[in-house]
Amino acid sequence: MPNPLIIRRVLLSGGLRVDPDAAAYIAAIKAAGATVSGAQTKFISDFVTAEKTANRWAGLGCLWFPVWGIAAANAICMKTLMSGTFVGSVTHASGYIQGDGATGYLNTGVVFSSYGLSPSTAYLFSLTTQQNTTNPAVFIGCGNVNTSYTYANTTSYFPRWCNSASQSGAGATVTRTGIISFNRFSGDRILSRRITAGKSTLASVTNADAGTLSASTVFALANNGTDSVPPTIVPQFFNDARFGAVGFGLGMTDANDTAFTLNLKTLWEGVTGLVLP
Amino acid sequence: MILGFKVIKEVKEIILEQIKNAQISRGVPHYWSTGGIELVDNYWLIPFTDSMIETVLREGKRPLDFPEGQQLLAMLGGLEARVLITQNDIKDVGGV
Repeated sequence: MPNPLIIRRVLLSGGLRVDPDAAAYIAAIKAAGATVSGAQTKFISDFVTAEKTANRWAGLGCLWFPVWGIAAANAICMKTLMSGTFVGSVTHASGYIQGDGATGYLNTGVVFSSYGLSPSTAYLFSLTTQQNTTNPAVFIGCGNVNTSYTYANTTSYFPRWCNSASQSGAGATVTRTGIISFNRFSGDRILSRRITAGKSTLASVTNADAGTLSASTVFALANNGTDSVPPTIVPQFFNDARFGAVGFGLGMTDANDTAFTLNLKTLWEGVTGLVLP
Repeated sequence: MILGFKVIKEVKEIILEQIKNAQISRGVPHYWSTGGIELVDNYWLIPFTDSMIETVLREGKRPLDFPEGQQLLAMLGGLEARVLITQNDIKDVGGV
């Protein structure tokens, strides 16, 4: 007889088995007013299931999936179910959010260290479908002296991890769309980009741990330009790109980065009906 | 160019606290705020663009669909009291 403690599935009407964490997220965004179809439910469940099967779900810190067109739903983290706060002018469209580049951002309400990130391990990612025009434009992170974020100018992407600018790898000049991931793991600092054509390495550096992780609140679509602990905030470097997903977690192997970003692409395209650049 | 209400710091803090209270008093998280931007003349801008007015916050409602939204708007003088500020009006926050 199957052990219910091992087989943890929720059986919904129509026979669709949904992962319980996926189900909890869907319930939360529906309570906020989001409409989620059966097909979308399956894509979300399949994403979470795949991440668990690959042993990556536990290392995922936070994932914001702002595709619902509703601020309250978009603010909910798929992993933790906690809500960030959207601040300023952010357009909540079907499939993405877009800050105005001057006032709009997401105050996540969390700090990196609470999720185990450190100078030796980190994974920052963002899915964007239209380039930023603002410069500099931070995707996710925080820090003033202890800069800990990914950002772009009008031609290139750059990682910054724990104020080790010289060690984080040079920026790479590319069209600034797709899934950008910065992966600090096992001595490597790898900046990668996935588009429909595939995944490529933009920059790769191997070196020792350096710098100090910023203790401040993490922002997305902008930087929190302080290293002071919450509630101090200094919004800056607003990003006006279109975001379909953004988040962070522990560092992982490059192979896992490849698999995670592919899974994320499948999730976003499946739920939104749009196509990654 | 940013459209919003130009206020002193104390008013900014009251407005933002009221926006927060309007959410948590309903038993939901603090998921939305106008925020405030410090200006070079030591005033603050509470951004309230036409896009923000049209943002669906929760359960199909926009900011001015909530009674608190209407009350705060009245306190600030109505939509016609908004001003346009430029990037030059904003206090410098340094480089990357």
